[in-house]
Amino acid sequence: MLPSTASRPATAHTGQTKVPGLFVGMLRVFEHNLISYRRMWLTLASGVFEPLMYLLGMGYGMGSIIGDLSFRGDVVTYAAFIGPGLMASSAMNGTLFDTTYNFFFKLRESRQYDGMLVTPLTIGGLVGGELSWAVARGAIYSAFFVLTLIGLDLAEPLHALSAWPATLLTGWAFGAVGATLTSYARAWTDFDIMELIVQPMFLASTAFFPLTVFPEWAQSIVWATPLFHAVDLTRALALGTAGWSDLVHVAYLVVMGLVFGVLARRRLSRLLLE
Amino acid sequence: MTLVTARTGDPVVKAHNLVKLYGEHRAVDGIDFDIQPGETFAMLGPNGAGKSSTMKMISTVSPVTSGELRVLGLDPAADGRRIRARLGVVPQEDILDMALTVRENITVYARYFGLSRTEARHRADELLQFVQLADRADDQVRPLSGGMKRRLSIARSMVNNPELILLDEPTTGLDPQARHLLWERLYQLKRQGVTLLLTTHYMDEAEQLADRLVIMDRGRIVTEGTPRSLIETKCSRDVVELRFGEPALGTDDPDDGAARAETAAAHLRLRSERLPDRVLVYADDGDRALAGLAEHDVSAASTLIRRATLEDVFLTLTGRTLVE
Amino acid sequence: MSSSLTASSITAGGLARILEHLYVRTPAKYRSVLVSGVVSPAFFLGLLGLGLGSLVDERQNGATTLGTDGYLEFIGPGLLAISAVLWAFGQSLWPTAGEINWDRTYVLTAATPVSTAEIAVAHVAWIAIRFTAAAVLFTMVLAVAGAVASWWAVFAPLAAGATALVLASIICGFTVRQENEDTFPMLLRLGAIPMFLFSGAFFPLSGVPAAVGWLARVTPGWHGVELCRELAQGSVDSHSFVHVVYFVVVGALGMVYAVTGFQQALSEA
Ligand SMILES: Nc1ncnc2c1ncn2[C@@H]1O[C@H](COP(=O)(O)OP(=O)(O)OP(=O)(O)O)[C@@H](O)[C@H]1O
Ligand SMILES: [Mg+2]
Repeated sequence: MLPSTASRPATAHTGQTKVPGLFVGMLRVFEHNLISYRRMWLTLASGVFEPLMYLLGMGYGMGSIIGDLSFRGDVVTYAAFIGPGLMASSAMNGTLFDTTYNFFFKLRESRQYDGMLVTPLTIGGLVGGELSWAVARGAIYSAFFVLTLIGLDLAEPLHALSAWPATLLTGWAFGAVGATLTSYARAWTDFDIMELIVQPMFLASTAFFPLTVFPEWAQSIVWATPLFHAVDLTRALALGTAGWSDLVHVAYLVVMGLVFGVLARRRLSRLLLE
Repeated sequence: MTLVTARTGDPVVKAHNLVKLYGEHRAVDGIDFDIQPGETFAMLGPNGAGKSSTMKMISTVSPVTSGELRVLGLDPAADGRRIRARLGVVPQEDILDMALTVRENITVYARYFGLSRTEARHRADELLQFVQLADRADDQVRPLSGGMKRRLSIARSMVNNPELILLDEPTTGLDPQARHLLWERLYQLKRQGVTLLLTTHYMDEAEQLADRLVIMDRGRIVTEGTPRSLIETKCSRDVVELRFGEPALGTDDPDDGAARAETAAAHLRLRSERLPDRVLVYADDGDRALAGLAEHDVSAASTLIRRATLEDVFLTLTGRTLVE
Repeated sequence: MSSSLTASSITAGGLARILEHLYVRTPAKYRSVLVSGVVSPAFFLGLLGLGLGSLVDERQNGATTLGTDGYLEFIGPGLLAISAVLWAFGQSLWPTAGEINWDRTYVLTAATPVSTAEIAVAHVAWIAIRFTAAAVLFTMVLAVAGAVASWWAVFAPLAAGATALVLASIICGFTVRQENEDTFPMLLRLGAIPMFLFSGAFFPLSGVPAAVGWLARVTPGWHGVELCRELAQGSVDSHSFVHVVYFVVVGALGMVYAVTGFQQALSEA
């Protein structure tokens, strides 16, 4: 059977074909991911357990040997302290995983991006679409976190909700960094080096203990790391102690996301269009 | 050289002094050609000749280093997206999405071209019929055989009703049946007025499909023409193949035999070519040539007289075989 | 038939040949041993042992909940066992699936005179061997940091290596039975994360609901943490013997699970 000539768009031969733009391209990439993950809803759903386990384990388990802590003058239980911190770090980990390991697989192993780029899709649409997918997935997990915080009575519902956008910002900013790093990776083992940076940053980010535990000199190093800003912002919002000064955190993450977003786009167009 | 007079009309692809550098390496080294609407155009050449590099520049995913390239009348550097919307690409290595089913591999790509979901589905079913994969529509891609994956790639490249399809070694790895099926499908497309650009290592494929072809070697175009005209002008009508047995078999020492055959051919004013396993003698009348060789005491273990092919043209032009 | 006999026979020569092949083809092996054995423990000990530790020690103030002098001594050997857990999960999912489905090296290896059982055992052993090498360095870091109180600690790398071996055999057995990688994230979530949190490395299990505690005691993670801590503290007793028995029994079962899985996967591949 022959694909009917009738179905050939009349416009095709006159060069008037409507070409999807950047935003539409991003949407298509997003949709592509959605279809790929449709069969993996169980995986997505199992994300519900993650915040619960972390909060039970770290919050109550560690809490049993630590007790209460104070944050910006308020005394809170260890679980309430650590909850928003874990929420911010899991937003980072989620998008970072998507934009490094998953990204690298499609870039180098399956070479799927090469296939996608022989359509009207552009590099901008590709990077934007992949990044927004990663952020959206992170947003679902963060939503589970928000619900867990509310359910375990670790934060006021409205405060917990207000922390949700902060995790989207976190996811996006780290996703852009991840995509850029991926463009420099030559082999899977190169991600060891990334882990070497991410792991200590995670441990030091004040997710687990307050900044005051560190000596002065170390405090300024921690302050310079992006995850600290994500954790502090999320915690301030979740515990209802956010103020104008927290805009510094927002600014840090926005600038990081923009700079690395542009860099990722530039690096990947050099890699994919050689 | 009898160049086929190209049909009039703006060429679908026009390349002038086209160059592609990878670092210092000249993958494509100043080539000129044009492809007319509705034409089937083939690129032949040994591994590394620059065929895929040329294809990638035409599909706008590889920037032109220098020279001029117009695709569908547009500039790939400026109008990449507009060009790709009207192009179908079958890359040399199948790039399929293993997370998707066979049908989804087409529908998802259809969306990149702006088709609606229902259109995409309709089109996917049509195309899967076309490449005889309809019964595998809902299967995963990973377990498909190599040839089935190839057919899926080809079906996917047609999802946007392209005006020009680039096929990089479309039949490599296909069984003879699948190859003939594909040839037949490509004929159908051609009849619909689709322009085809293909690379191949198979001479019979080029002779069967191509209206016109170029032979490339080391980034350059060595020659250009219709398959028939190339054979007629660049080669002889017949080719005599002489094989010399192993010394142990009691015939002439193969090296002596081959050398003798070459000298004899030179006496007969016939061109000859010595290959590792045989000697080729080019002649317009093969029977007479063979008789002449026998008079010069050439006794081969086996002889064969056949019509000249594109393979011989390439050998004549470059002194090397086409398939390595 | 004799082929089924060869398919499950295990010889030292066969294992050695496969291990040699794995040794050659594993990229950046020294770097990863160094990272897991020295760099990563140094960060963990510094930030959790000292940072978090200062907080815990201040709050605990001489209480006996931990059973050790301070938090550093508590978490140090715990981290050693926990990194065995993370290593086993890390190496047994995607990289193992990669060997079979993408690189298909073992399909080639299986066509040589070595047996499928040997491939399975060598694959799991290679994961454990590399970790044990890292664990030796890790234990030295612990000693330097002052988290070790006894010479029994020289056996801690073996205990941690056994933890990695037992877990890797089970997870590899799972991996080779999967059709694709879709189930891996779920296993991380339902296996790795709970084991990471509830093996008693970071806090004593008295801090969590009793049911969770009992569930944790079935896992290799908990046995590894306890054994490593007993060795580092020098408090070796009949408990320690129970852990050893656990590793031998569960390890043998895990290995059978891995071997049958490899046999199935390589006969289909
Ligand atoms: N991305 C790249 N980077 C560097 N060099 C490249 C790249 N792609 C191709 N080349 C080089 O350019 C030359 C031409 O390669 P090309 O793939 O165009 O050959 P081809 O004619 O398609 O060969 P084949 O028949 O083997 O497919 C080769 O020497 C190749 O190594
Ligand atoms: Mg090629």
